[in-house]
Amino acid sequence: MIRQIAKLLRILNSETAPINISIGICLGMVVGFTQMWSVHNLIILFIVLFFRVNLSAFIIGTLAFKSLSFLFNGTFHQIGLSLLTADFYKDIGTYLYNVTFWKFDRINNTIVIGGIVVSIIGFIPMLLLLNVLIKKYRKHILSYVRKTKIAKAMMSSNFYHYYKKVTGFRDSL
Amino acid sequence: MRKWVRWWGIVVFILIILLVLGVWYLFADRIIVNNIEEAGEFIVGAKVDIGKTNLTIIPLGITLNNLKVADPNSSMQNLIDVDNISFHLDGKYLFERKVIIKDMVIEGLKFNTERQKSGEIAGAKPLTVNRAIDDFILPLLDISNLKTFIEQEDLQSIDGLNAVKQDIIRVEKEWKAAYRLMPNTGDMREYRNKTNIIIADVKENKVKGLITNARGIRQLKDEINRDIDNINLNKKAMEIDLDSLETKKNRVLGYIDKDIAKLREKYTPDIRGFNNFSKYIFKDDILRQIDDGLVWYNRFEPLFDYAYNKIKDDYYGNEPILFDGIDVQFPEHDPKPSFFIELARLSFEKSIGDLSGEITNFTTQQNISGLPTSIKLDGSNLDFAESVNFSGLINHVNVDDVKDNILLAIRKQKINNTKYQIVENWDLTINSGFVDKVLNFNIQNGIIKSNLKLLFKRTSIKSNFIGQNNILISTIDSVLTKVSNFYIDIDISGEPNSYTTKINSDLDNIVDGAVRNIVKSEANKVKTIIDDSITDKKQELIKVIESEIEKLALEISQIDDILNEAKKILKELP
Repeated sequence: MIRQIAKLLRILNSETAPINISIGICLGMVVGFTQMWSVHNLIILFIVLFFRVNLSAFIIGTLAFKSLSFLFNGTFHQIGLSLLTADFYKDIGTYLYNVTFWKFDRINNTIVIGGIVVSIIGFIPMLLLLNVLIKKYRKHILSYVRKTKIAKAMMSSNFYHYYKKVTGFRDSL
Repeated sequence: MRKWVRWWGIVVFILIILLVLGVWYLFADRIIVNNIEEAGEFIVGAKVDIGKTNLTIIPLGITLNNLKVADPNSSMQNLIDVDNISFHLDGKYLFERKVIIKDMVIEGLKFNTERQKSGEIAGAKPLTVNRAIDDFILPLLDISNLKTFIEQEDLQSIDGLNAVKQDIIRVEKEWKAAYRLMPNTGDMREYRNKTNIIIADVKENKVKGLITNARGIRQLKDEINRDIDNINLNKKAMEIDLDSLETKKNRVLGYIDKDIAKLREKYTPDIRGFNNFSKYIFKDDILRQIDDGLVWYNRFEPLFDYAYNKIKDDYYGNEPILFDGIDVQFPEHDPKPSFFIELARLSFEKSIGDLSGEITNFTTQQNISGLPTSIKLDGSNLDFAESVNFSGLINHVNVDDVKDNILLAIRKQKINNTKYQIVENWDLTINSGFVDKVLNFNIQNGIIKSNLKLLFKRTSIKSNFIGQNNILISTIDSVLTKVSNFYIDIDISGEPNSYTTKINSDLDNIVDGAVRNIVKSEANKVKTIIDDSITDKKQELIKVIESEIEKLALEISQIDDILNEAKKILKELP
């Protein structure tokens, strides 16, 4: 976990595109807010691994939102119940319930559908918010920290150069 | 493209899938065991243990060994103990999260086996059922202690007389306090002396004496008048006290008849109590058996309503046992319940005898399967009976018309030293014989309409009464111990968690005939004891009360004497 946080900080501080980090965290939110071992999460895992989504951001996002999901189970249940018993959803629900894929995914469970709905609705706003936050972090906090005497001293040390060499070599692999 | 994808991700993804599947297969046995144990414990409310499991992929099947379900009401006993359960799963429905079992084999079924470890689950409540039974109060059989019982009774009349006694004590105290402020005979003597002196002086000095004593005469008259007022006021209060005591006493005496009637009703042996003596003998045993059955019915019945939880308008759903939230049900093209056993073959442990059966169409969602669950068991040459035939039908297909029916016939069930407690110190033991049992148990839409018939044959009954023997008990004993064949007929009605029973037997007529005359004679004895006890107690108290009231009345007459003396002095004064 500490290693993942360290990695995330390194990525935040690197030149990695903010969208890559944001997508990773947002996909982690979908996985965290819904039941772990489900088919849609396997698809998300495939997306994360196949496309260049930041893995550390995804892992951190999953762990963070999974921890939060226990607090929101009641809300997910209420949202899921409202949706599953809404008149407009009747035909859609019946259709999905008769497709093996969705039935296996437990799409008729109030908490599962509640979690999916919240993560889908929250996906784009969360993506945009994280993008803005990462940019602001890099512009204000990171540049400020880099200008401090301690940071300058550390960055000019042999140890830092050695560290950059090693991590740069590892990243190129 | 290369910028956006990482091809090695597919390899990692496949590796992760393979790893997950591999780990699942390695631990599948334990996962299945845990799920079954967890679900079983939720349903039963006691420990469920499985010894070993074996999962086969082709064909997809599971074998469970040594399944033990603890008894929630007796933690060191297993309710059910099964050697082996094996079944095959329909794989295509597993992807729809449905467990469809075509054929299940349950072997080596045993009941009530001993446990090594307690099967109690922390926080689980014991299973109970409410019951009511008509007038289950056994009349007093032994009247030797009747006097003691009467002593311990709360009687309105005796308590009332004691209260009057206490009131008298209170009144006496209050009067004593009043006397201290009231003029007494000493005061009257003083007035008399003063009066005599004045009268003598007036006689001697005529008008001069009258003028000299005029002031003294006026003062004396005023004093005496004040005292008369004082005495009159206190006397009036005392008369009210006395009247109140008399009224209380008379009112309490009116309760005596009521108390006698109450005691007679409670303690007089009534022949009506012996019209249905069989219920006193068999109530505990029969009610225990009915309780045992209904407790489990109440436990499992809600599970059969699993698909019927109405969420909103036309929406139904259920709370999955091993998952949070509610699974909302939608119409299916190929409706199948979440859990369905088409056929389960049961065979009991060989030592019981040749007992086997089958359960068909088992599911908790009969509205989806459209089929009622049926249970059938047949056995012969068993260790406890000659034969057993059991058939049950649990029909919850239509939620508005739920019908559950059990038909059980046990032929020649052996009786071996079965004890039936009548009262604390009196029991009957059936040492040997057989009983044929026929139970027809029906519950339709939550209303029980059932009957149990027991036909006892070639029994040998022994009575055991601890205590001073009496004619009533010895007569009942003598007739019961001669009976060898008899029947008991039990009607059960009401609701599954609150039922009533009516027990009838030909033993009722036997006991009734034998004790009819004895009961009458015993009843007369009881009446006499009650009348005498109450009369003695009443007289003892009345004697004390009346003597005290008399004393108080005497005190009032003494006050009258003082009052008259005061008035007389007043008159004599010039």
